[in-house]
Amino acid sequence: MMSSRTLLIGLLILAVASLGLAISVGSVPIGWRSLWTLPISGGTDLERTLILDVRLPRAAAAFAVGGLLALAGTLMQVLLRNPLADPYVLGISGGAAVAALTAMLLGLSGMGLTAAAFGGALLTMALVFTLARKGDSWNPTRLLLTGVVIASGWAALIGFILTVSPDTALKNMLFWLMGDLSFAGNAFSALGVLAVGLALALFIARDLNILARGQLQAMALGVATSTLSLIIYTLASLLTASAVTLAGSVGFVGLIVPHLIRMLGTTDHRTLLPCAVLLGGSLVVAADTLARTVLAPLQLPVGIITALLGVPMFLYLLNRRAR
Amino acid sequence: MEALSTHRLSVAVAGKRICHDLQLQIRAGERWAILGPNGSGKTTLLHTLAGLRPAQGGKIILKGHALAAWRPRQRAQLLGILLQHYDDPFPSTVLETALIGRHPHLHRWQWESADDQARAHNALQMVGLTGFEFRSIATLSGGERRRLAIATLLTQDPQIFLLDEPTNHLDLYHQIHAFHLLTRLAIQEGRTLVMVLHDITSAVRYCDHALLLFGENELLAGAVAEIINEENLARLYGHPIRRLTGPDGDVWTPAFTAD
Repeated sequence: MMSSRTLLIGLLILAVASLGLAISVGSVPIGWRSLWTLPISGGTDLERTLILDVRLPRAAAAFAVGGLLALAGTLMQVLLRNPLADPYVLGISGGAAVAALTAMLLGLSGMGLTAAAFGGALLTMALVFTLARKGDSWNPTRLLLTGVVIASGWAALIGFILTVSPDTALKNMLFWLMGDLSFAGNAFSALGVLAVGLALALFIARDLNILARGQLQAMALGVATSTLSLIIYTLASLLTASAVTLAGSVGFVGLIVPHLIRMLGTTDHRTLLPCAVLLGGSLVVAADTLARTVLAPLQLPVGIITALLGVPMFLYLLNRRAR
Repeated sequence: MEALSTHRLSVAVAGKRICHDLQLQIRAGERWAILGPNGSGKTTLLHTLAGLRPAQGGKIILKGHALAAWRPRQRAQLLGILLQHYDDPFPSTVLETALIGRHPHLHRWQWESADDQARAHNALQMVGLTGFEFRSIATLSGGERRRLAIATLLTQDPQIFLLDEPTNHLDLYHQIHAFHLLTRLAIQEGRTLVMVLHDITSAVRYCDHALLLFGENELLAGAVAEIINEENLARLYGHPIRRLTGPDGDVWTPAFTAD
């Protein structure tokens, strides 16, 4: 088993390396050497434009999306006390998708699309919260069932929208649904959301350790579980909404990253949370670099790559641990 | 001094009344057994006393203040509960699990100190789990998991122990060991025990007071010597109970007759 500190340092290096890779790889490769000396030499105009205007914002967006999803996934798993929970389990991405696809159908793009996606996510958040809660109590099973059923409802609506949409719009819609970073908006504000989200999550990290062991045990150890659950729900939902708004529904990251960290021996949320952010961010940065280079000039939705990378990685660790 | 008392306490679950206007005085250092048939509300009452669920009426008083008025963290420093059952949806080690008992004693940004670690190791040693520190809790047997739960409670270090079937899953040796450990805390350190039990012999041997829950809002509280007798127990369980004299004191056993 790796110590938590070693893991954290290793993941920091991984994050820096993945960002470096994302910046240097592309139709015009930029060597590590010129990348290293760029802040001093200034580089060529082309290099500067490529890095500062194209690759860095996109890599930042990828990192933000991965970090947001991994953080939200960790929080959802604690809230629902269910290792199968992911950021989308309560239907938030479905709500965002229905709103975003409707906006596309109406011919909106850019800010209009972003606003629609965020609105759809918030609407779902309010809907699930209102329907799942009875009085002051948080019942994970009831919350999970409500979320899953609402997600299924959204899935049906997504199917309906895809069916009635003109063929020309379908490709964009499909990309949005699978997660795509080529139209990612303001990445740096998403990084801000990620930083604030991580700070808030660290503030309640030890409470998360206790709540993960059950509501009664947490109450018995002096955790105000109702308030804590409300904080987790709101925080995880907003993080998910930010990620979905930025890049559509990138699958798999929020589910597997928390487990990968736990399998590597870190289960204390005070270190698990930052580790998950770093690994989630690195994973999506690497996946997005592949997504835009493997079949270049054709770009793939990043969600395809996160799943293709994530599945074998997860199965390998799961089997290694079982032995 | 009174550790825990109730004033006109009413508790109900799913429309069924467990107690009404209950007046109970539990003094520091006393050892209480809660006995009753299945479904008589033992666990519900224990959870209410621990502040894990609201009462339908009346008040619970912990060290002179209403239980509900205590801040959860302060309450958890004084009062701890061993639950009947623990779910472990996520992986963890034995030591990490014992250490969560320190949660109410730590400030928000504080990490477990060497002293907290020592307390956890000591608690694990008391329940015979030394050498298990870095084992995954998923690999523990039912009895080992139970002893770990007791160790977590010992690490929490409360003054009042509420225990829901503390010896559940334990083999006979560990049952006796656990009872000795707990009664020592009461006798030597003046801590208070309230435990839900099914074994009358243990209740009589290790407790000085008993609360009999007959269900249907009928109950009896008092010194063990006064209220534990064949007549009350037969009424409690709806089955004749025999008292036998053994080499270490009385043994209580159900009559082995069909109805």
